Amino acid sequence: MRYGKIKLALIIIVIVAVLYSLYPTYQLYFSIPKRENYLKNLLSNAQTKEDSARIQSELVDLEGEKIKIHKRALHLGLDLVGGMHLVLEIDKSQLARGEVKDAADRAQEIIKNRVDQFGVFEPIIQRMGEDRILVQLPGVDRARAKSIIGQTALLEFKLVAEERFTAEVLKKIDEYSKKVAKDTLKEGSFFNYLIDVGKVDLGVDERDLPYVSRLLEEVDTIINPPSRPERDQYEFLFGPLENYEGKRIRRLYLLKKVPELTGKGIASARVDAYQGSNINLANTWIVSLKLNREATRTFASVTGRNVGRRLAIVLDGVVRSAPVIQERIPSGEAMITTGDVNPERARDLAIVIRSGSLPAPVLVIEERSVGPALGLDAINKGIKSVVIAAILVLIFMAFYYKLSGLIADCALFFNILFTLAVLASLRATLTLPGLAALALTVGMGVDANVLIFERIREELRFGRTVRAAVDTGFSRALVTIIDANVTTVITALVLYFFGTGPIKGFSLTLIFGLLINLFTAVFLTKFAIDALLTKVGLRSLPI
Amino acid sequence: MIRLIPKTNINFISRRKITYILSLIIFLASLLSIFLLRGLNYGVDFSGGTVLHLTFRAPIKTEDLRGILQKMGVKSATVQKYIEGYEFIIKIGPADYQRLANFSSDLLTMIKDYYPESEPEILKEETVGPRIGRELQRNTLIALILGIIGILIYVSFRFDFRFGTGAVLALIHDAVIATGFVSFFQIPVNVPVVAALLTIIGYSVNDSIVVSDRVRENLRKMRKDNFLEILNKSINETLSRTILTALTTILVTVILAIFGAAEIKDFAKIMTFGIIVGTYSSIFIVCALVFDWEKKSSPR
Repeated sequence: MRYGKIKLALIIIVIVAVLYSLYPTYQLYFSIPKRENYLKNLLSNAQTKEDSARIQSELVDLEGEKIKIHKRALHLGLDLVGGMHLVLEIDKSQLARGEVKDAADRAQEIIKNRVDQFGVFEPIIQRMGEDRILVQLPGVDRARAKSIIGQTALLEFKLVAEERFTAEVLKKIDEYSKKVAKDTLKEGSFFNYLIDVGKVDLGVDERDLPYVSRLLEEVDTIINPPSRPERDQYEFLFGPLENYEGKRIRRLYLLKKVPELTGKGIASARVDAYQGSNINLANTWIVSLKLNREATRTFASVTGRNVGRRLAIVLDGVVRSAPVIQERIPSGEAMITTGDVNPERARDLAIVIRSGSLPAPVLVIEERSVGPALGLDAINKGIKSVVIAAILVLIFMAFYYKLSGLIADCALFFNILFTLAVLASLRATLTLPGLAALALTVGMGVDANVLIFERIREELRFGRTVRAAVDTGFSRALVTIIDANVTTVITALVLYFFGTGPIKGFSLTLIFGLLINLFTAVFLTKFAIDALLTKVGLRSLPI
Repeated sequence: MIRLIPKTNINFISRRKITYILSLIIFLASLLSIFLLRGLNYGVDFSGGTVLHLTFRAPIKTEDLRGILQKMGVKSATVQKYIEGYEFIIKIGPADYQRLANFSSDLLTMIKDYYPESEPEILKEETVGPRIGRELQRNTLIALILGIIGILIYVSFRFDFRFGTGAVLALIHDAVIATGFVSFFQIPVNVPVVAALLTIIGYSVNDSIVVSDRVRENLRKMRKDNFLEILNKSINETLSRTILTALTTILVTVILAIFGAAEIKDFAKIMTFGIIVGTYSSIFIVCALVFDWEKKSSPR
C-alpha cells in the first residue's frame, strides 16, 4: 500500500484533533452538569457549615469553568436552548437621510451596553445592513428581552388632569359604552370595570385590561374634541401591575398629552432605598434622578405653577408614580418608585435611563422566542430521531455489507463527530435544522458507501481479484461521489448566502458534513479495507 | 452476499410513454394545485404576522379558542391543533398584529379569564414584519433560481449538454411535484420548507448524475450504435444502488417525520416524498428524455 504510514499518521492526527476539539463540548454538556448535580446533591445533605461552604465554593469554581469552556464548545441554537431572537429596525420616519447610519450605530452601542450590564450569557448583537440590528439572547424570556431592548427609556413628566375634569370624561365614556360600544365590553357599563384604589386613584383589574384598552382606544374623540388645541389634549395611561386588596390591578390616569419635561434633562440616575413617608413603599427601592441645569429650571417653574396638582412620572408610557406637587422644587431632584422590595428592577431601570434613550425609536420587525421547555423538547426529539435513524442505518449497513458495512459504519460515526468538531471550532451553532442536516449527511454518507460497495460487488462478479475490485470500485465511484456531493454543496451554499438564522445552520452543517464525507466514506474506508487485505492478510472481503 | 435487488434487465426506455403520461398528469396536477386550486399556504416567515405555540394544562376546545380570538376582534386568525385540546398553533396576519400590540399577553389574559384551569403557556412566539416577509420571499426566489442555475452550470460543465438538460428537466419535474405536495397538503411554507425543496433538487441531480456517469462509462466501453441498449444497461446496473440509497435516506427522513420536532416533521415529510419522486424520475425520466433528444437530433 502506497504511502501507508503517511496515511495512517494523517488519520491519527485527524482523529486526535477531532476528539480534542470536541472535548470542551463533552465537558460542557455531560461531565460538568453531572458534577454540578452531584455537588448540589451533596450540598442539600451537608451536615456542617464548613462542608456546605466548601461545596459552595466548588460550585462557584465550576461556574467559572463553565464560562471558560463555553467559549470553545459547540453552541446550541436558540431553537434548542430557548431564548429570544429579534431583528430591530431604526424608525427612519423622523430622521434625515444622513442620520440613519449614525442612529443605528448609536442604538447598537446602547443596546450592547444594556445587554452587557444586564448580564446575559453569550449574546449576539450584530448589524444587518445600514439600519437593522440583530439581537439574540439565549436563555432570556420574552418579557425580560423586551425590557432590555424594547425600552426606549422615554421618560416624561406629565400633569395629571384635574379631578373634576376626569370625572366628566369618565361619565361621557360610560354613556358611550352603554349605547354605542355594547360589544366592546363584556358587561355593559364602563364604570363596572373601575375599582377605587386608595383615596384618589382608579384601577382596572388585570383581567379586564384587554377590554378597557380597546374601549379607550375607541373613545379618543370623546376625550379630545377635534376643536381642542394639541397643547390641551389628554390621554389615558396605566400604571404598572400591582396588588391591591387581593386583586391584580393597574391604576388608570388621565394625563396631559404634552409632557412638561422629558428624560433628555436627566443628568444621573441611581438606585436608592425609599425614605419617604408613604407606608406602602417602606422598604422598597427607587431610582433617584438628578436633572441637569436647564431641566432643573424648567422643573422649578412647572412645580411652582402647579402646586397642589399631581405630576406623573411616565416611563415608556407607563405611569410610575404621580405625586402631588407640595411646593416649588428648585433642586432638580426626582424619584421613580418601583414598589419592589427587591432592588433588581430599580437597578435595571437605572441602567436603561443612564445608558440613555435610543437615538431614534426602533421597530421590532422580526421576533422569535422559544420557551426553554420547547427547546428541551426539541432537543430531545431531535437527538432521539437522529440517533434512531443513524442506528437503523448502521444496522442495515452491517447486515447488508457484512464486514465492509461495519467499516463503513465506523466511518459514518466518525463523519458525525468530525462535522460536530468542525462546527465547534468554527464557533458555529447547532440548530434544529442543523440536526436534520446531520441526519441527511448520514444519508449521503451511506449513499457514497453503497455506491462504492455495489461497484466492488459488480467488479467481483466480473471475476476480478479482491484487490483489483476494491481499487476499481473506489476509483470509479469516487468521481460519481464527488459529482453528487458538489451539486448538493452548491444548493447548500446558495441556502447559506440567502438563508436566515437556522437555515444557515442547516446549510453549514450540510456543507461540512458532505466535505468530510469524502474523507470518511472514501479515504478512511479505503484505508481500513486496504489494511485488512494487506496487513491482516484477509483473502476475501466480506461485502 | 445479500442482494436486495437482483440483477435486472428491464427495458425502461421502451416503456417511457407510460411514465411520460404519468409524470405529465402529476406535474400538471401539481401546477394546478399550486396556481389555481389550493395555492401555497405561506407561513409567517413569508406572509408576516404572528405565530403562537400555546399549551394548556387542562384541555380546551378549538372552537372556544376561535371564539376568544373573534371576541378580540382578530379576523385573520387560523387555529391549528397540534395535540388535541392541549397544544395549539395560532397564526394571525400582519394587519391584526400591528393593530394589537399586546396580542399574546392579551390572549393569555382572555383565556385565563374564561378557562382558569387551563393555565395557558406560550412555548414559542414568532413575529415577522410584513416587509421582512416580502424580502424573504424575494431572497428565497433568488436562492431557488441561483441554485438551479448553479447546478445547471456544473452539470453541463461536467457532462454533455444532453445529460445536463435531462437532469435539469428531471429536477424541475421533481421540484414542481414536491411543491405540489406542499400545496395539496397545505403545509405552511416557511424557510425549512424551502430548504427541503432545495435539498430535493440537490438529491434529484445527485441521482441523475449517478446514472449519467454510468452511461458515460458504458459509452466508452460499448459500441455506440445501440444507444437504447446502453441507456437501459446503465439504468439496470445502477438500479440496486439507486434503490438502496433511496431506501436508506427514506429510512432517515421517515424517522425524522415520526419522531422529530414540529418543524422538522414537515421538512422530513416533504423530503420523503421528494426522494421518492426523485428516485422515480432518475430511473424513468432522465434517460428517456436523453434518448428522445438523441432520436430527434440525429435521425437514423
